[in-house]
Amino acid sequence: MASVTYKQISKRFADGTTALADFNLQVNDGELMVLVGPSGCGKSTALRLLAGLESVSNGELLINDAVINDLTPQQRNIAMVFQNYALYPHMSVRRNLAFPLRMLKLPPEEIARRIAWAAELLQLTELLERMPKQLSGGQRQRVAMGRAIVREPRVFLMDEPLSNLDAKLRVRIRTEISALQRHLKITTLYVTHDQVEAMTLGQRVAVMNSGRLQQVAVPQLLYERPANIFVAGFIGSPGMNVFASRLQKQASALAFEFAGQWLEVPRNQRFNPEMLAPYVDQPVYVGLRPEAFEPTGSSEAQVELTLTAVEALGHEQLLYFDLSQVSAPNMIVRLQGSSAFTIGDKIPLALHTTELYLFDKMGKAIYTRAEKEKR
Amino acid sequence: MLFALPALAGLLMFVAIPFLLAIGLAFTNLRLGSPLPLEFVGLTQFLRLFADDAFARALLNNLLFTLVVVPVQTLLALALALLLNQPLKGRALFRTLFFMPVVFPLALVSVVWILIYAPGPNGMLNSFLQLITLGEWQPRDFLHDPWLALPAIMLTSIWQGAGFQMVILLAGLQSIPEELYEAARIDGAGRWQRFWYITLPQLRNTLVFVMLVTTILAFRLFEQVQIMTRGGPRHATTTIMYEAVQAAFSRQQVARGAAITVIFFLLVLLVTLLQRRIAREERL
Ligand SMILES: Nc1ncnc2c1ncn2[C@@H]1O[C@H](COP(=O)(O)OP(=O)(O)OP(=O)(O)O)[C@@H](O)[C@H]1O
Ligand SMILES: [Mg+2]
Repeated sequence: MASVTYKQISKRFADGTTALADFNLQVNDGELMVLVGPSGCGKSTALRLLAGLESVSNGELLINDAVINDLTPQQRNIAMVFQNYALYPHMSVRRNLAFPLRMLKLPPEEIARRIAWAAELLQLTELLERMPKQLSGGQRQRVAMGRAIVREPRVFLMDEPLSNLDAKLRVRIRTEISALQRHLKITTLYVTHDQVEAMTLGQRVAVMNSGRLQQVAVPQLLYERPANIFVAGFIGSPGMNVFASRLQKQASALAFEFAGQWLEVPRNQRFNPEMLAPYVDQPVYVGLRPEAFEPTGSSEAQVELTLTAVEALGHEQLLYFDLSQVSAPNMIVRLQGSSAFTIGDKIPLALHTTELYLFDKMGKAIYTRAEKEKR
Repeated sequence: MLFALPALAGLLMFVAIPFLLAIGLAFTNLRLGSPLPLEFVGLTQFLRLFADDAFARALLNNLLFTLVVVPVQTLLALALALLLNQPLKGRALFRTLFFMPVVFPLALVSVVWILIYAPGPNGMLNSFLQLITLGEWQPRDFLHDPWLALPAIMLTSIWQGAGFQMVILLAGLQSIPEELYEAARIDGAGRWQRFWYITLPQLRNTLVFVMLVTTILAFRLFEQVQIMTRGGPRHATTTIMYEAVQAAFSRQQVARGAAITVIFFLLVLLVTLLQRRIAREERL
C-alpha cells in the first residue's frame, strides 16, 4: 500500500544533460500510472530516480508522505522490470525468483511458498528449472514479472517491458499485466513510448516531453481535451493535425482560417465563441484530428487539397495531403474502409468543424467551457 | 583442406616432430659425448628419475609454488581488477603501472629482485624490514636461505605476473552487464552479495582460464630459478624445468631431459583436462 509523489524533481546528469525539469507527479495507492513520451524525454530517468539507481538533483521523492531521497535501492522495497529483463543468466528460473527473497532472509518454506504462488499466477511452474537462455522472449518477460512480484513490493516499476516482444504477444501480455495489476493492487509506474499501449493500459496517463510533464489525465480525457499542441499531436494514431491560423470576427460568427478559407468556429462542449474574444485577430493554432475530414462531392466540399500519398492498412486508409502543419510536412486524413484514390489529384474534402481544437500562440489549448463531470 | 596444408606442415615440423622425438628419446640412454651405443632402455630413465631426490624435490617445489602462487596471485589480481573497475581518477595511469611488470623481461625482473634480496643490512628488503621493525629485524641472505629462497622466488613471480591476470580479469569484469547489478540492487543485494551472486559467477570462466594459464606458467617455472638461485641452496628451489635443462644441457643427459619433459607434458595435460571439466559445468 503506497502512494508515490514526485515533488518538483529535477535531474541533471554529470555531463550537463537535464533529463527532468520541475517534474511533479502524484501516483495514488494501487493505481497503474503510465508514463509516455517520445524517446529521450526522461521516462526511464523518472523510474530510475524512484528506484534509487540515480540520485535526485533537486526536489523530493515521497512514498506515503515519507521522503525517500536518501534511501538506497535496497531500503526502498520497490521492484522493477527492465526492458531487457535483466534476468540473472547463471541462475535457473527458480533461483531468479528466489533471489530477492533470499536477500530478505526469508525462511526457506516461505520462499518456496511464494515462488509456487508466483509461478502459478504467471504460468511458470513448468519452467522453474530452466535457465533464462532456454526461455522464449515472452517467458523471460514473465519471469521478470515474477521476480518483481514475489517480494510483494510497495511499488512496481516497469520500463518498456513489452518492447522486445512481437506485436501479438505484446497485446496479450498487456492484457495480462493489466489484470495482474488489478488483482494485486500494487501501485505501478509503467513506462512506454507507445501511446496505444499507454491509452489501453493506464488508469491515468502522464505525457512527457523533453523532461517536462505535459499532462496527466485519464486516457479518454487526453484524447478529448489535450492540454497543448504536444499532447494533441502525440495522442491518437496518427495524432492531431495542427496548423498556424488566425481568428476573425465575421458578420454572423467567429471564423478561423484554414487552407486559405474562413470557416466558422462551432459552438459546442469545448467552445463558447463569445468567450474567445481575447484571441480575435491574434495568431492561434487550430487542430483537427485525422478523423475530422471526409472526401465528398465537390458541392459540399469546403477545401480542395492535393493528395501526395496513400497508406492502406486494410480496415482503414491514411491519406497524406499537400498542406504543411506546424511540425509535419503533410496533413493526414484517416478513412474507414478502402476506396481508390489517385495520387496527385485534387480531392474535395468536407470538415467536421465541430471537432475543432484551438491553441494559443504558446501552444496551450484553449477551452472556454469546463469539461463535463466524468463518472 | 588444401589451404591448411602449409599450416599443418608447419605444425608437424615444429611441434609434432620435436615432441614425438622427445618421447622417443625418453626411452633411450642417449647422452651426448658418451661412448656407449644408443640403446632402447624402456622405462629406465623414468625409474631413475623417481628414485632421484633432486627430482622429487623439484616436483614438490613446483607443487608448492603452484599451490601458493596461483591462489595468491589470482586473488591479488582480482582485488586490483575490482579496484580499477571503479570510476576513480587516474584509473588509466594505475592500469598501466600495474601492467608494467608484465612487459619487463623476466631476466631483467630477476636481476632487479636479486638486488632487492641482497644480503646484509644494506640489502633493500633487509633495510626496509629493519626500518619498519625499528631495528629488530636480523638481516638474512634470502636467496641462500633454504627456507626463504623459494618464498622469495614466489614473491618475485607474483609481482611479475599479477598485472597480466589483472588485465584479463578487468576485461571480464567490464563485460558483465551493468543492468545485472542494478537488478540486484533493487532486489535488495548489498555490495558483498552483488560480488558473491553476480560478479563471481559471471567471472567464473575468466577466472578458470586465468588460473589455468597461471598454473601452466607455474609448472614451467625456470628463468627466475636459473638467474636468482640456480636451484639452490641444496635443491631448495629446483624445479621440473630446471632439472630438465640441467640434465640436457649441463650434463648432456639428453634422454633424461626428454623423460622429464614427457612428465611435464603429462602434468600440464592433466591440469588442462581438469580445467575443462570445471569450466564446462554451468556454461553460460
Ligand atoms: N547516465 C546519463 N548521463 C547523461 N545523460 C543521460 C544519462 N542517462 C540518460 N541521459 C539523458 O537523459 C535524457 C533522458 O533519458 P531517458 O533514458 O530517461 O529517456 P527515455 O524517455 O527513457 O527514452 P527512451 O524511450 O529512448 O528509453 C536523454 O537525453 C538521455 O540522453
Ligand atoms: Mg528509456
